[in-house]
Amino acid sequence: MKRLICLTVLVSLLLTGCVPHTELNERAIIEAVGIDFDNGQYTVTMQYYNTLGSESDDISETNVLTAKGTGSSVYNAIADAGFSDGKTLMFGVNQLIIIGENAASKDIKELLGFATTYYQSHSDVKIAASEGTAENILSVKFKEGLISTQKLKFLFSNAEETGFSANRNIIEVMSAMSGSTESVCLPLLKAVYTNSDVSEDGRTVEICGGVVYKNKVMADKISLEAMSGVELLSNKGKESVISLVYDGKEISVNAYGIRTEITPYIDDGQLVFSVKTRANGEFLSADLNGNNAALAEEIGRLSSERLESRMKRAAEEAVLNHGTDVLMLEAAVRNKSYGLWLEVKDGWEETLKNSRFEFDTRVEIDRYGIEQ
Amino acid sequence: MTTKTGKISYMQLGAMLILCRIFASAMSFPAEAPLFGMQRFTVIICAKILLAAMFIPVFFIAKNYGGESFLSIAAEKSKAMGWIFGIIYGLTLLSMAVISVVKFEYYTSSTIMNKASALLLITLLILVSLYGAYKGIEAMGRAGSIVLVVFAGFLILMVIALSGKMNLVYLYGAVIDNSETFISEVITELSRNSEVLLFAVLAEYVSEKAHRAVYVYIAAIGAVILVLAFLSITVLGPYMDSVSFPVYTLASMSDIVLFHRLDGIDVGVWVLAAIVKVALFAIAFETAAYHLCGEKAARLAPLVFLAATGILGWYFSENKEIIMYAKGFFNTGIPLVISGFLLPLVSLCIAKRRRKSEKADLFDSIG
Repeated sequence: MKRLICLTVLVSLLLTGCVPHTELNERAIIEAVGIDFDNGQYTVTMQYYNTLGSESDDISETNVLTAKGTGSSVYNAIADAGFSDGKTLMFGVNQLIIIGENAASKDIKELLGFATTYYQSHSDVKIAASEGTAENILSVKFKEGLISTQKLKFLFSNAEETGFSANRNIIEVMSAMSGSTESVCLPLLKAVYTNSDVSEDGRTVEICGGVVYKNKVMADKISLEAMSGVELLSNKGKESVISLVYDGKEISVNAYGIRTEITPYIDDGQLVFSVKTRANGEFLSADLNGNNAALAEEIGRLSSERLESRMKRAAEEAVLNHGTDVLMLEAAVRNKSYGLWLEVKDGWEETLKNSRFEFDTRVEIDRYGIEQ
Repeated sequence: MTTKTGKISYMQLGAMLILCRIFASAMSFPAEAPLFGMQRFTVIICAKILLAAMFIPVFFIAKNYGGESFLSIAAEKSKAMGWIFGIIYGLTLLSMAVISVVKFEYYTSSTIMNKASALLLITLLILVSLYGAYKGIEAMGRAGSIVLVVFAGFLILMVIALSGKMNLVYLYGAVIDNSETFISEVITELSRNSEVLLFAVLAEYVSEKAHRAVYVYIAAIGAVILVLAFLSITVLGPYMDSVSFPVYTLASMSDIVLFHRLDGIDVGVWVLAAIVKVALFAIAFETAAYHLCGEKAARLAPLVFLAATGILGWYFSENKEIIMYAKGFFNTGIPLVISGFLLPLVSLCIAKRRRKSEKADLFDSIG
């Protein structure tokens, strides 16, 4: 019996090559997906890893290739892309999904359905919107890194670390969409010419603001300052570089250890969000001599004003203008006072539109750099 | 009296029961996955209290009548009673095994083994479980303990990897936030504990203090399920309601150095857990058959039981609407209460009476 089992295991190991399989060069390892909508048709553009790119001696060999398909739904467009390209699509390491400007007017849950239902999809895939078409963004092929998308991922993480834009992965988007107002805020990308050698054609991609979704479709675009405010109000931004004018000079301060706490309460029938923000700060400008307390306090006050201004813009552009809940205020109200939530949950959208934000921001300068 | 001489410790039995229950938590049919909300914690706590109550008859049989099971007590009292108990118990066991197999097929074919045929998946599971069942309770006890250690490692890795993704704002101060679904959620949670059926029979294999396996099982399972609920709520938030397999989704989000995503490990753990669970069902059936039909018939019992499980599992995996309907009935907890609580309760009363009369006889003989 034991011999028979050993023989079966051995034979099955030797016969693995007889099992139907897909070779690496027959597979398109998708790195980024762009979704566009035009004339009633969806277009899906996919950047996939060029298996020859990294091993070729020819440095002009691109590290990514592009597949494109159209169809009446995103699923059909993906199937069309696979059919036209003749490769088996693999989404297991997909890092980015970009929604084009026209496609943003379509139900985001339907657009992203392929990524949430497909078993291989990575739950940490980042979602962004684009100015113009997503295809235009994905046509920028960065030379840096093993794959082009790596550069875009760095762009996102850098923007998050410096407090300019909040990253959103697919689970966060879907979770935000499960709220009453089905709202979310995505970073907005645009392709720009820089004449540098960062990409094949001298273009690069930058974050130029954000897009606010409400009831699963795009409601409005917001400024980069408001986007930074969203990051602060969502308690995601732990660090942020602040530029301000002091004594006629342009100076920079790095606010770090930022913590924001939102406490909702009712004041005269109006829902009020009391936002308390605390941060530490360090001088980034070398020409600011003197680490005296008065100077630190004044710079701290000015830094607080700048942070507060970002949050005010975020509250106005991303919440009050459209009654959208991109800051997850519903969860914040429930978390702080479930009784209050029961009180305000009916007509939540209108309540949000009519709500008020109160800010209490303080940046305490406690680092002066290594130069006196 | 047991069919085999193999003996296990109460910790090993507890480990196997824990594994079986966690398997049930990871697998779910559509619309059966737990819902987002603070009452999830209340549901788990209430269900565990009820579970402790449901274990009372089998617990006392194990504690006071070591080496016996409710079936052996019933069969000793009257052959007819033994057969009635045995048939009800066997059918419940078979139903639970079939549901587990269909869930396993649905889970694996929905996740990593996306294009594998149902027949192949079920056949492999049944063959390995059959091998496990014939190896006996001791081998399964060792295998179950190892798989549980693997699961513990996986859970720790997952908690570490997800710690940065937890959003405590999703927690709020409500005990019951949807009273309409609360009772049904508690009953569904309770009905997932088919381990009471396994303990009812497998306790007789425990060398000593079998009842302690119940302490281990209820305490550990309560803690693990609460941890999984906490992770699901704080990481997935309200999106949890749309996810078919929350544990799998959490695993796929677990971005940790070297592993990057843990969903492959997740599927591996559940495949091993499925083997242990189905093999235990077969051993429990074999033990029941031994008490009713004797040793010869008991030898064939795992083969017959697993063949039936495989055929029915394959049929129902192709016709899931039937099993969904049947699962609705099982989610009421009625079959479990009958086989895991009422029948053992009757046996417990019989055993108490028997002991009383034995004592009386002893006094009479002394007198």
